[in-house]
Amino acid sequence: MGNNHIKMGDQLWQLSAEQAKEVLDAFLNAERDAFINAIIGSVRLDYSLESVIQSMNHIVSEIRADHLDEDQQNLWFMRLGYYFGESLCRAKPGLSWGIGNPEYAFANHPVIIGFAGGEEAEVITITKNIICAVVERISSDERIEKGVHFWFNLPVSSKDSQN
Amino acid sequence: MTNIYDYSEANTSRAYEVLLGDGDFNVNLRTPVFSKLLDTVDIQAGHLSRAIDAAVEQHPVLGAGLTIVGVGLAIADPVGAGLSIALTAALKQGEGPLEERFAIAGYGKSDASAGRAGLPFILGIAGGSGISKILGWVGGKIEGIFSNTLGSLFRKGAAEEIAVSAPSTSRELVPVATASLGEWGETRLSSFLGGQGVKPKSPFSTPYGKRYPDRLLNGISYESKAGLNVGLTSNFEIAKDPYLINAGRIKGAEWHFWRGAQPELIQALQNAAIKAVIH
Repeated sequence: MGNNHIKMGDQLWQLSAEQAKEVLDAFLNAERDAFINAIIGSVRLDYSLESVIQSMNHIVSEIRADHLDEDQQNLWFMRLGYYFGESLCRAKPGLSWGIGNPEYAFANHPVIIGFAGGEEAEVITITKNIICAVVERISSDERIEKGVHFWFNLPVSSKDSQN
Repeated sequence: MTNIYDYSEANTSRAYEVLLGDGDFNVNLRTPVFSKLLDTVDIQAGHLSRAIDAAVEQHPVLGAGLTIVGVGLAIADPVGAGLSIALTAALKQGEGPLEERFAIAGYGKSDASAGRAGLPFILGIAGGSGISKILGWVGGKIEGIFSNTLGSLFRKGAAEEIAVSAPSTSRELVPVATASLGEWGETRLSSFLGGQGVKPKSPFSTPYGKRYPDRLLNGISYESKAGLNVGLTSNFEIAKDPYLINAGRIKGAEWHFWRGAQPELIQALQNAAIKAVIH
């Protein structure tokens, strides 16, 4: 499955844990490769909080300018979801990539785990929701900044509580 | 919309006249809501009225002194296999309070286009938790796919599953019991959304507890409230959606009220950036 055409459809919850892990690994491998030479406008891709916000704002402007069709948009939601998640992991020790809790709506999705209280960041969906909310004027432009800050500010679980 | 609990004389006597009448039953029921349904349903009013009368007389508990104070029309298609239709009656014992009981006289036929022509006639008394006793069968027999339809109704408790309406005045189909109110509202919500979206199989996680959206469409979480003039009962319930929005787990949230909402609840939703839609 190691290619750029991973299906992140609504049926991820049907996968076994092993299959979900395969999807996660393929997703991470594909996106890591993609980001070696990735360019998102003039954003400096240093995995900082600011760069995540700027990247999302850039895609908002691209969508509003009608430069991206639906497939391209979905690709960017996935790609920026990876960048968002990877930035969280690099900024906050204790966070890592994992598979969504099978008891909840994002079962088997690629998520960031390690937050206090067992919270998980379903970064692809989160990226899509906050970008679309702004594009569709459901929310103000500040929604992106608030959404990214929400996850960067969320406490990380202590090692004791993780074990 | 007519309140189904409004068994006023003007409302119920008219309906009962329709029920007991020898003719014009279909004509009287041909409101816009029912006209399409009646295209596939054949109702014989005389059969129905006699059946209900027989049910009341024969019922060992409710027979003596029982009067029918209100009737309604119940329509259900719980498995999508064909329409079933039933008359319901609110019963009153002597001068006592209104009993939450419904005499069910079901009659209908399955979808003719499916090549099934069963015309079952079933009779029973439904209590608050469902059919307490099936009193007998009047003509026809239950078979095939249609028996599955009615079987589902009765296994689940017809009184809680079916929608009830005063036939001559109401354009709404409102269920009787709380459990089915929710399902009824969700069905209306699905219809409102043109059948689009999904009911998530698993809840969202929030610090305030699990959140089960009634419908999820394009990242918007839809909540259906079918109660009468829904009030604010818990701030925790409202807190879940803003949390999910802030976290980006959902794009937005809409709450739909099918039978009204109290102002303080609407205000609380607005404060939480949740869209409230009163139908």
